[in-house]
This record gives sequence, structure tokens and C-alpha cells, in this order.
Amino acid sequence: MTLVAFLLICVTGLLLTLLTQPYARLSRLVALASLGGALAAALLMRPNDSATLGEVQLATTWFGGFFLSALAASSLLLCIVGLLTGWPERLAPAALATMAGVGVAISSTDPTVALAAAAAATAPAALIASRVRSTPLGTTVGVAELRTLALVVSASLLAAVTILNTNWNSDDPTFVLALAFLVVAAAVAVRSGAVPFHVPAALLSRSGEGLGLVLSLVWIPTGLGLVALSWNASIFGVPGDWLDRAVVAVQVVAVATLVLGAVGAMLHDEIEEIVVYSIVQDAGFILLALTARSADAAQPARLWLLAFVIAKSALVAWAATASWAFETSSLGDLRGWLRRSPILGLALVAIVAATLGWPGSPVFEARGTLVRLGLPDSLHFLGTAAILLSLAYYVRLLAVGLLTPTEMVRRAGGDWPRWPRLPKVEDEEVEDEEVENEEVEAAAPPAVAVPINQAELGAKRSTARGDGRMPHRRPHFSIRHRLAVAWRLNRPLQASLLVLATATIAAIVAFGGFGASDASQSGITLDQAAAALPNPGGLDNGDQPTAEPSAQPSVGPTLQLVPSPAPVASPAPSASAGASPTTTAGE
Amino acid sequence: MLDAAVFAAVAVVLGGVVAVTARDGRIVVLGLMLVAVAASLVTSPLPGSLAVTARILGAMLAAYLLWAAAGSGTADSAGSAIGLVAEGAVATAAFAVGLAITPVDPLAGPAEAQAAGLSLIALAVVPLAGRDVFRMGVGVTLLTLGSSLLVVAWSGSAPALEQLALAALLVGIAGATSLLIPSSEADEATEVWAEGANAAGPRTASAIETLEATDWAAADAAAPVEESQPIRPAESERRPRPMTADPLEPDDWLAWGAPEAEPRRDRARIARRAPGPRPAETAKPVPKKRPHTRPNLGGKP
Repeated sequence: MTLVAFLLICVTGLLLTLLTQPYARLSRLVALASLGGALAAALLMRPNDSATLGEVQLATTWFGGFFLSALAASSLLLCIVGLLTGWPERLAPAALATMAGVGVAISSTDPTVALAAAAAATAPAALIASRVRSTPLGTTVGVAELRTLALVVSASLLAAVTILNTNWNSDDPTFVLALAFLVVAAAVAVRSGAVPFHVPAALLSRSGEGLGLVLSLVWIPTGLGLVALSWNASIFGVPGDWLDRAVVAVQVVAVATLVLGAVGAMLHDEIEEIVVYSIVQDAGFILLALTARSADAAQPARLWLLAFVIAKSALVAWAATASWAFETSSLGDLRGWLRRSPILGLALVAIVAATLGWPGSPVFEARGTLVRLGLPDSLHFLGTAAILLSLAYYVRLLAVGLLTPTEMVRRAGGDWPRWPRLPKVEDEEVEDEEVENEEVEAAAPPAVAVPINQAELGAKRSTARGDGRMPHRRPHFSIRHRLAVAWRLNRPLQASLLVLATATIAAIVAFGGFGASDASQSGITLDQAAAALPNPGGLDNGDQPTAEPSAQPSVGPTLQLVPSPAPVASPAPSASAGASPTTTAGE
Repeated sequence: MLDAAVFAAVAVVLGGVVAVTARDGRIVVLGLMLVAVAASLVTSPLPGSLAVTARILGAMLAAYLLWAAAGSGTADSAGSAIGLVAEGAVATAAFAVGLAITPVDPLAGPAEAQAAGLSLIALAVVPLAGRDVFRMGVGVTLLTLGSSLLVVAWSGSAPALEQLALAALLVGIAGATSLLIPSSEADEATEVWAEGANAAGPRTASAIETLEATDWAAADAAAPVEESQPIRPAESERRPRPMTADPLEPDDWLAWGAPEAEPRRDRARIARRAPGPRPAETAKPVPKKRPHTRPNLGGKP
């Protein structure tokens, strides 16, 4: 029931948020309430809860709830950041739709339903891309987005049918498996903007999407990647020439993404582009997890997906806050930003720690394991190279922040706390001036012009009043007024603190906190459904363990998976997650 | 004896040909709706009434979204470059191939579903290669429906939840297409938006800060007393709008209790406390003091 509650909140919130779009404040309230409700429902999701919906059983797991909580928390935090830096109108409904789709996908016991729901979860990216439809980039972005959608949807559906069917008329069943592997990997690679398919992501970064980038490049690809990884060891773990060739092709894409993504981040000067290429680079690890085809890669891959979701959300929020606070997104104009915004600097350091970790930390080990299992021995140096390349552009960002501030940065307030400098007036004098006021009121002209530097500042208010008159300030400020002004003055501080909070959560999760390490061992419902499937062509995957090793039972006894062959006891896998007896498919 | 799936498959192909070749956006939408509705029936046995209803409602909603976009007059399709007959021939050939091949033996679903699916995928290739957003949306829809028909043919009937997911997917694709179509209204709205943004000035952190912290008393005192004009900053004074700022949004969402416009007595304080002469004495001769008149409420004159 907890899953059904989560889905209901997401769908209702999506509809209400879209319906209330004309009313800005109401729409924001509904969006925040829906995201908060979704977060609460995800946090309260019980591991062994199940429900039957449309003839299909949906079951929750610990990791599934954790992953949905991470998605909901990231969405909520980014929307709150958006309240300060510029409300991303369509991010909240798109996030709610995506969470609903991902929720069905990772809890479904029917693989076809899972892939169809995962494909449906990719469609909301158009909500983000549609904001730029009337810009010169609009048509290009729209075409790219629709092409991505077409490829992901068709690949997901064809992968489902390819994986599920065992009656192929083919002499070499691994050809079918290779085809399925390629379409699954292609869906993940295209949606995450891996290097040959990075043009839509680059276009999005230039279109000024800001916070919306995170939906298209982080949340949707991780949901899709999580579903794709379910087949990894159980279905694609068989040896075969065609499959090996397909794996090599995906490895090439992954390596190109790891290297060229970092190079792209180093070469670009707009922080949105740096952020996008950084996301693209780290999405290469999802492809590496796919190429690993090993149960040993499942736990690190899940931990990496958790860290990736929150850390990259924090990075996008960081970029949006920095652009807003300093009124520029060009790295050349952002010289000295760190001096003016030390909290943002701390947040960036936390993001780096959450993304890269250090030797011995869970996220560092997860990255290392994925490189070790996903690439041949001769390419293992790429793990270190990826870290160094990532460090290079992160250090570049920090180093630019330490330089002498530009005029633009100096003019911006930064995130130091401020108190309004308002004139002090004694109340007694005010009381004595009542009579004289009338004379002055009569003598004074109805409006005055202001010097040019004040003109810009007053334009917003005078335009809002509609009479062209310059506003005047109330010199008598109560403590309530002062607090209100201080609240507005310190918006950069508030935004920086929110980004820091998001980055801190990301770092805690990346280091295994909040139970992330344990949760990442439990897997999702689809893992067990996939493990119970026979391989196409009746192939046996040999020594590969087919079911995910789980430290604890993640699905309750009520879950009825697809009928599987009689279980055959196999030697305990060498998975780091502790061994449990597994079943071997392919009977 | 002909099965209902055969008629549905033929309807799918006909609808696909219409959707690809028609130039009027509304006829394209009707063709797509025919494809989406008929595709849910190309199965044997027929799915439950709940699943069919979900698919039909999804098809109608998707068609409505596209119809709304087409109704604006900006979503007409470019039509087929090779014409109705050629598209029909392509669809027929793909249909025949779909009936002939057996990649899966035995098929779990009807062969007509495989044939119709291949036919739709063949029809979708050319629209997907173009740069017309509306036509590309048509291609994505046909590709999705074609893939779903292949799933039916190779894996058998889908459960109700999968039908629901497919319906949601179709609605999502149609919504995405209707949102991504560049419209003339959107262009005009953008111009108005940009105009408003320029006139209102940037909504940036420093602008808000300075606005709040400005010593308006001094500003008023120093200002020449002239009839004020609607203020529009010079081009050089405008700052770049940050990517996340949205000038259409009210900026006081969180600023409850922010100071409003001045009360009457403020002018006195401004005039007294500001250094230098009073504003009224600087530029303009002081206008005649208005006689202090009170409304005659029927008392003494």
C-alpha cells in the first residue's frame, strides 16, 4: 500500500501542478506539497510491501524505497532552490511523472511492464525541453528530444520482447542476446548523453534550462539504468561471440564518455556546459556497470547510482545558484566567486567528495570496481585517469574562484550574511511632524526622477505600480520589516545553504551513510524477476550467479515472481555483499 | 474465417498511411487516433475491457493533445515527399514481409500484429529522419505503436498494467510533441516576455539587494524635481539576465511582510533629513500652496 500511496501522490500532484500552472503561487505550493508528500511516502515505504495493479504484482524493496527517496529529496531540494534563484516551472510536474514511472518500473514483477514504464518515464523530459521551443535552439532541441524519446522507447520495448522470448529462429542465440544488450545499452547511452549522443545534452546546456537539466540528464537516465542493470548478470552473463562484440562496442562508448566528457568539461567556459559534461562523464560508469555483466558489479553500481543522483543534483543546483548570485555563468566573469561565496565553495568541495570519494571510501571503491569489472585489464588505468580528469575541472572551478574578483563578482553580494542598512529614525520626531507633513505633501511634486543608477533599481517597482512614479521607502522600519528585508537580502546565503545541504546529503550517501551501503545490496524487484527468467535460446550463463546476492531478503513472501525453473544450488558467489544461495537460470 | 485482429491490423496500416501522408494537421491526428485505437485490438484473444478502455482513452487523450496543437494552425504536416501511393506501397510491402517471416517460432500472438508492427515501423522511418517537429512526433508515435505490436506478436497479450503504461506513454509522446512544436503564439509571447524583462530590469541577487538597501531618502533628495517618466534603463545599463531568473515570476514569494510604499509622513522626513536643500527648492519653483479646503458637509460655510 505504501507504493500505491506513493504512486497516487505522484500522479495527483502531477495533474494538480499542471492544472494550476496559470496561478503561479498556487502551482508552487501544490508542487512543493506534492514533492514533500512523495518524499514522505518514499521514506515510509516498507521493504516487503506488495500490491496487485492491473494483473501485475508490484513489490517494494529496501533499495527501491531508498532510490525513490533520493529522487524525491533531490527534486524537493532543487525546487526550493528554484524558489530563490528562479522557479523552474515544469521541473516539479516532470519530476513527479518521472518518479511515478520509475516507481512502477523498479517495483514491477513483470519485465515487460517494467520496461514500458521506464520508457514512459522518459517522456517528461520534453516538458523541460519545451521551455526553449521559441528560441533559435528550440527546433533543434525539440527534434533532438523527440529522436531521443523514439530511440529509448523503441529500444526498451524491443529489449523487453527480445529478452523475454526464448523461441528465436536463430542458429546462434547469442546474436539475439547481443541485439538485446545493444538496444538496452543504447537506450541508456542516448538518454544519458554518452559521447556519441551528447549533442542533445550540449544543446540543453546552451538553452539556459538551469535546474531543469537535472531531470533529463540525471534522474531519467538513472531510473533507466537501474532497470537495465537488472538484466546485467542474469541474462547477459553468458559467453558468446556476438555478445562479446556488443560488449566491446559499449565499452568503446563508455571509455569515450569517461575521457571526452571530462575533456569537454575542461574546455568549456560556461558553468552549465561544464556541469553537463561532468554529468555525461560520470554517466559513463553506468555503461561500465552494463559491460561488467557480473553480479559483483550490482552492489557498486547501485551505490554509484544513488551517489550520482544526489551529487549531480547538487552540482546542477550549485551551477544555478552561482549563475544567479553573480549574474553570469561565464567562468571568465566568475573570477573570485569563492571569495564572495565561501559556502558555495564548501558545497562544491562536498560535491567533489561525493562524486570521487577517496581511497577506501565506498564511492571510490564502487567506481574502481566498475572500472575493474567493466573494462579489460589493459584499460584499468582509465579509472585513475577519470578521477584525475574530473579533479582537473573541479580544481579549475575552485581556482578561478580564488582569483581576484571581477567587477561583476565584486558587485554581487555573495553569500556572506548581511543586515539591511536602513536609516534610523526616532519615533518621537515622527509624532511631532504630522502637521508639517501636510505642507510638504502639498509642496512636493507627485513624483521625482532619480539618478541613472537608481533608475534601474526602481524600474521594477514603478512598472509594477503602473504609474511611472518612483517608489519611496518607508524610513521607519520595525523589527519585522527589518527581518523581512534581511530575509530578502540574504537570499544568496539561503540558496548557498540549500546547495550545501544537498551536497552534504550526497556526500553522506556516497560514503555509505543513511544505510545506503546496506540498501544497495538489496536490489530491486526486477532483479529477482529477471533472475528467474530463462535465457533466450536456453543458454546457461555458466558460473555467473544469476540472482543478485542480497544480504537480507528484500521481497516478502507475498511476492510471486515469474515461474522459474527448478532452483539448482550453486556455489556461493564471490560477491562482496555476502553470499546467499542463488538459482541458475537457463533450464 | 477472418479474425477481428485482421481488420484491426488493416485499420492500423491505413491509419498509419494517412498519418504520414496527410498535410492537414487534423487529418494527421485522426489517422494517428485510428492507429492507436486499432492497435489495441490487434491481439488474440482480445484483452479485458479495462485494458481496452485504458488504451482507447489514452489514444483519445493523445489525439486531443495533438489536435490542440494542430488547431493553432501551426502544426500542419509537411506530408510525404513520395506521395500517398508510394507510402501505401511501402506499408503494404512491410505488411507482407511481416506476414511471411517467422523470427519467433511459434508466434505467441497473431501474425497480423507482427505485420502491422513492421508496417508502422517502416512508415515511421522517414518522418524520424526529418526536422519537422510535428512530423517527428508522428514518427515517434508510429514507432512506439509498431514496437508495441511486435511485443504483442512475439510475447502474447499484455497485462492490463502494461496496457496502462502504453497508454501513458502515448499520451506522453503526444504531449511532448505538442509542447515542442514551435508556435507563432509562443514566439509572440517570447517577444512580450523579453520586452517585459527589459523594462522591468533584471531580477538578480544584487538588484534585489540594492533595491532593498537603497537609501531612498537621499535618492529622493538628490533627484531633480521633474515630471517623472516611465523609466527604462539604457542598453548599457542592463545587466545580463541570469539563466535562472524569470522576470514573469513575482519575486516576493518568500518575502512576506516586505515594506510597501511610503506613508504620507515619509515625505516630511525625507525632505528634512536629506542633506542639501529640499527637493522642491532645487529645480522647480514651489507651486502655490493649495488652500486647505475641507468638504462642506453641511455645517457652517
